[in-house]
Amino acid sequence: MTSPGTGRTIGTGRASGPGRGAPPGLHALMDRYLDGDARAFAALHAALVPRLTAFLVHLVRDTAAADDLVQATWLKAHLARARFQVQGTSPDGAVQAWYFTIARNLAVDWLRAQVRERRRREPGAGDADDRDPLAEIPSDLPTAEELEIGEAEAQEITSRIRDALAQLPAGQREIVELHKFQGLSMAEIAARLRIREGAVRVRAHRAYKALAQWLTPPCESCSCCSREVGHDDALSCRRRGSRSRREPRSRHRSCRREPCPRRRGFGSRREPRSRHRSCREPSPRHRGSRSRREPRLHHRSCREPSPRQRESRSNAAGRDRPHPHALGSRAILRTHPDERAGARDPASGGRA
Amino acid sequence: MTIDAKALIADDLGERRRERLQHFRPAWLLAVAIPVVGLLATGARDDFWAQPTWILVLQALVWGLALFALPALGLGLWFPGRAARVVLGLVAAAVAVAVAAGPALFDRSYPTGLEDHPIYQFGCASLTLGAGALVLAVCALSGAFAQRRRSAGALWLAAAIALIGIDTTTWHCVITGLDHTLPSHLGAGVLMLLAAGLVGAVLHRRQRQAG
Repeated sequence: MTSPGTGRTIGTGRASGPGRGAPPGLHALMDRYLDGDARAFAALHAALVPRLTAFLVHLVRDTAAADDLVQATWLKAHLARARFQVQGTSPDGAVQAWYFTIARNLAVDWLRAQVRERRRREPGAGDADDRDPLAEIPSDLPTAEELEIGEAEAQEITSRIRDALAQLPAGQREIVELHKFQGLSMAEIAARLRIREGAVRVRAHRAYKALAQWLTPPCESCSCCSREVGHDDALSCRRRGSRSRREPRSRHRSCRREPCPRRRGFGSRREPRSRHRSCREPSPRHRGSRSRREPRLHHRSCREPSPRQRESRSNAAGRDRPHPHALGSRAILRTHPDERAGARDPASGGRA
Repeated sequence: MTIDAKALIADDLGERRRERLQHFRPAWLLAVAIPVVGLLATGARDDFWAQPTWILVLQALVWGLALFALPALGLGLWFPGRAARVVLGLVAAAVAVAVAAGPALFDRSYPTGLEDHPIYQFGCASLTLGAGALVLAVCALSGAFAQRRRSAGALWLAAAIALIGIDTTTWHCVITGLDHTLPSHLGAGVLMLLAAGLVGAVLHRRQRQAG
């Protein structure tokens, strides 16, 4: 809404809020109102109040609060009217968009104040089931930065940001959304996610670092992927992020200091992972029947038989023919073919 | 919160209008005094009351437009609709031509008064431009050209300045022949309109940017 360079308040030709078409003649009324015509202001007020009221009721879901916000919108617009400037193809739409932007900003401030007040009154209450009104504000409403930029460019930037956010791991993306879109502090995010605040900060740092690298304007040549990048899509330099390192990547995983973030999870360890399985603790996936405190012995004859083996052995003890599993497959292979033939014949008896 | 923003804003706009009136009242009085002093210095025409009634009415109408209607438009004190503004502009142009040319424009047999001479033409043109220039200076110094967002406000004031110059000369000069009135009265008035419009537009842009 406000141009950061000149301080002028800019309205674009794109109308926002319910009833997108702006009433005709708004710009002429606005011109006369800005020159001091009280009758023009009255006509402008009559034309926009129903739309503003409906828009704010839709945002804040509270009729009384919406009425107050409508009054605040008009007062704020009156104080800032000298900075109004039309930029766009539709002057009438620009006037409506200007008022709707002021109204939206006031609604967001009011909702944030409500959320803070609710948390202050009920600090321990989980609000997982509570409706978060901030999250329901339509994301397609123009922000101050979008108004400043052309609509097409704004759409491109929006799609790039959404693509970049989709690339983030779920945990990092959630923190970015809570921090940037919903305006929660790190402490509030930690309380909501029931994790330590330090963990929240670490994830947020990694997420913003990755986003900064992905959304950096395209470079002439990308050293990380060793190819010319002559296009507009900065996401082609997606090889940045987890693999982007200042020092060359070591070839031996065991020599690396930190595992790649993508490989986090079960393999994420502070110390290097041992190469020998027998030396490692079993991973959580392999817990269960094989979960043992002591390492598993290599030689089967040294191990205790599994329950299935015990059952099969007990069954085999009642038969003439030894169960193949009792001997092990290697025992079968070691026998002479003739002896194997004899072993297969139950009438021959005995073990081969 | 039970405030009525509409009433508060309307009150604020009314207050600003009163402040603007108060600010420009001295400038307006000075703009009125300039043609009065000019006529006192040069003398009014001897056949003033011998003119036809309709031309006296038109001259009075020009004074009304020049001192009330057009300045109110230019200063943002009066906001007629678009149709009213168009009619007002056309009427102002028509009466300015009629008053500057005089009765001889409609009646070729109307007595010309004194015989025309180039020195008289120069004198009438100087009076028109001089009176207009003084009023232009008052408007420039008082910031009258920057009261409205659009430069059309400055053009309304320029028209008022031109009409003041035309009517001042008409109340002074007894020569009514078209050979004299068209170049020295009407021509000088058009020149004054162009000059005041140009100066007003420049000052409007400068003062708006500075503000």
